[in-house]
Amino acid sequence: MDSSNVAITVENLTMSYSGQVIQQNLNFTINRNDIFVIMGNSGSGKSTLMRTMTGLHEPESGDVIYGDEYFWKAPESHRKLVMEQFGVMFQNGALFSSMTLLENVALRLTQTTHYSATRIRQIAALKLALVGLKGFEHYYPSEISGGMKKRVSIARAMAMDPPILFFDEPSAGLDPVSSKLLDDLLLELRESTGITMIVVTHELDSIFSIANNAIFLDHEQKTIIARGDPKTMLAECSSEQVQAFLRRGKES
Amino acid sequence: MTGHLTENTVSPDYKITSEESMVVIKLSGDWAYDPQFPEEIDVQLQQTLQQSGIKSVQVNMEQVIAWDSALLTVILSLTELCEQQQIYFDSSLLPSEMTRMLKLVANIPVRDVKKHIEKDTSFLHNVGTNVIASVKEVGEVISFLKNASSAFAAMIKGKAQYRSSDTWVIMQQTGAEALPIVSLLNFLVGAILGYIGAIQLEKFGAEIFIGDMVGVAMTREIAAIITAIIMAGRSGAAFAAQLGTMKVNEEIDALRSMGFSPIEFLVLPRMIGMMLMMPLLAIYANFMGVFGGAVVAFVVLNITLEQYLDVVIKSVSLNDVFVGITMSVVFGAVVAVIGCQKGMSCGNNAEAVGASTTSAVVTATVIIFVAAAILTVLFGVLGI
Repeated sequence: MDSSNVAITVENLTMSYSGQVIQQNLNFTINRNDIFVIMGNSGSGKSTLMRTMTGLHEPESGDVIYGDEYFWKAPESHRKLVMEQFGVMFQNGALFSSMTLLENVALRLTQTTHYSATRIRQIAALKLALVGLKGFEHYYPSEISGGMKKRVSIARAMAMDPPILFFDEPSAGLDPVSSKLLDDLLLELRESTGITMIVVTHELDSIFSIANNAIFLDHEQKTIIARGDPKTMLAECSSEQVQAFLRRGKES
Repeated sequence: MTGHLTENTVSPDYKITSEESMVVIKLSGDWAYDPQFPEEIDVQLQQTLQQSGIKSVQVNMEQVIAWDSALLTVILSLTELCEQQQIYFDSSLLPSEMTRMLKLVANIPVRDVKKHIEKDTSFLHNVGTNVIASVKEVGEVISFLKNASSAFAAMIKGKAQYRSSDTWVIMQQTGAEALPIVSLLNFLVGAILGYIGAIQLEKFGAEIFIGDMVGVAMTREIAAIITAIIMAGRSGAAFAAQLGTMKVNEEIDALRSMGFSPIEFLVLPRMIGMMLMMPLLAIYANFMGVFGGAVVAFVVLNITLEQYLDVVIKSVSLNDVFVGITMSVVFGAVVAVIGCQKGMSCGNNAEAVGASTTSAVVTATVIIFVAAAILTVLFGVLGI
C-alpha cells in the first residue's frame, strides 16, 4: 500500500471505560479521500472509537497516527495542532444554542485565523450554502429542524477546511428522504473537496450508498471482525454477526 | 484545497493585468490561512471590473501553492460579479478542486427561506417586550398555582398520582442535606447580630439584652429569611434545573403520554418536601442563630451561657416562634412553587435551563423579601 495515501493509521488501540475494556488491539488504516464507515451493533464501541480518534477519550494503549504524526503520544500543545486537521459532526449537531447558525460556523475561524470579520462571515456563509442552508445564516438552532442542525454541524466541522471529517451517526433520527439527501451531500463534498470522511453509523442504506471502506466492531470479541468494502463484506464475509447486521437479522 | 497546517513558504500575492478587453488575475504563493492574506483584493477586483470594455476575466492559479475557503470566497464573488456584468469568466487555469467547488455552490438549489425576523433592539421595544413578558409570567405563575392547588386537593382526596418515595428523597435533599449550610450561615448571622448589638448595647450599659435582641430577631424573622434564601439558592435552583433538564430530555412529555400529570408526579413531592422541611429547618436555624449570639456574648461581653439563655427564654414568646414558623412555611411554598414553575416552563435547550435556574433563584429571593415585609406588617397590625 502506498503510505503517502494513508490519512490515518490506528495502531494497537485499546479503549476502556472505568477499567472495562470496550475494544482492544484495533489496527486499521484509512486512505485519503475514503468514506470510511465504522459499524457494529449498539454498545460495540463505535462512538468510543470515534471519540478516541478525535481526542475526546484517552485510549488505554496504542495510538492514532495522522499522516506520520502520533496523536496520543504527542504533548497536548502538539495534539491541538493535529486536531486542526479534522472537524467533527456530533450526533445531535451540538450547536451552541446562544449563537446564530453563522456564528456557530464562524466560531473557530474567529478564534484561530487572522481574517477580517467580513471575510469570516463570507466563509461561514459559503459553508452554510454548501450544505444547502443559504438564507438561514441568522437563524438560531432552536428555529431549525433536526436534519438542518446536522447540516449546520457539517458546515461547522468544515469551517477550517480540514482534510478529515468525522461524523457520528449522521443519519440517525432523520426521515429516509433527509437521510438520502445527507448521504448525497457527503458524496458530493468528498468529490468536490477530496476530504477523507470517517462515519460512525449503523444505518444500512447509508453504509451501502456512501462507504468505500469499513470495519465491523464486535462487542463480544471486543475487536474488529471484518473489514473492507461493505458490499464485498456482505457477499464474502462468513461471520454470522456481520451477516446478521448487514442483512438486518435475516438469514442469507 | 490545502489545510492551514501547511508551512508557509511564500506569502500570498496577486497581479492584475489588462490586455485589451481581457483581464488576467495572476495569483501566487501560499493562500492557506496566511496572516498576510490581502483583504483588499475584493475591492481591487471590483474596481478593475468597473472599467468599460472588459469582455473576459481569467484567473491563473498555477503559481498558488495552497489555498483555503477564503480564496474560494474571493473567486466566488468574482464569478458573481462577472455574471452580473455579463463578462466571460475563464476558469481554465483554476485547480480542478476549485472548479468543482464553484460548480457545487452554483448547483445547490436555494431553499424557500422564510424571511427571518430580525429582533428589534430599540429601548421602547425592549420595555414593551419586558412588560408583556412579565405579565405573561405572572399569568403562568397563577395558572401553575391553580394546577398545583388542584394537585394538592387530589392528594388530600388520595387521588394524586405520585411516588411517595420521591417525597422522602426530596425531604432528605432539602432537609437533612441542607443542615451544614443552614447551621453555618445562621450561626454566623446570629454572631454578627450579636456583635453589632454588643457594641451598641455596651454604650448604654445594657449588654445583657443581647440575648433579647438576638433571640427575638432570629426567632421571629431572620432565621426564616436566611434559611429561605439558602433554600432558594440550593433547592429552588435544583428544582428548576432538574425539571428543566427533564423537559429538554422530553421526560415530561413521556409522563404526559403515559397519562400522568407532571404537576402531581414531579411538582407535588417537591412542594410537600420543601414545605415540610422549611419550618423544621427554620426552628433549627433559630437555635443556631441564638447559639451564634451566645458565643459573641461570652467572648465580647463576658456574659455566661446561663445568663444569656435566661434572657432569651424570658424575651422570646410563643408568638415569636409562631410568626417565624408561619413565615418559613410561606417561604417554603414560594421557593418550591417558583423553582418548579421555572423548571416546567423552561425552553428546550441548555441555555434555557440555565436561564430558568437563574430566574428561579432571583424571583424566589425577591418574593421572599416582599412576603417577609407584608407578613411583618400584617402580624404587627394583628398584634401578634
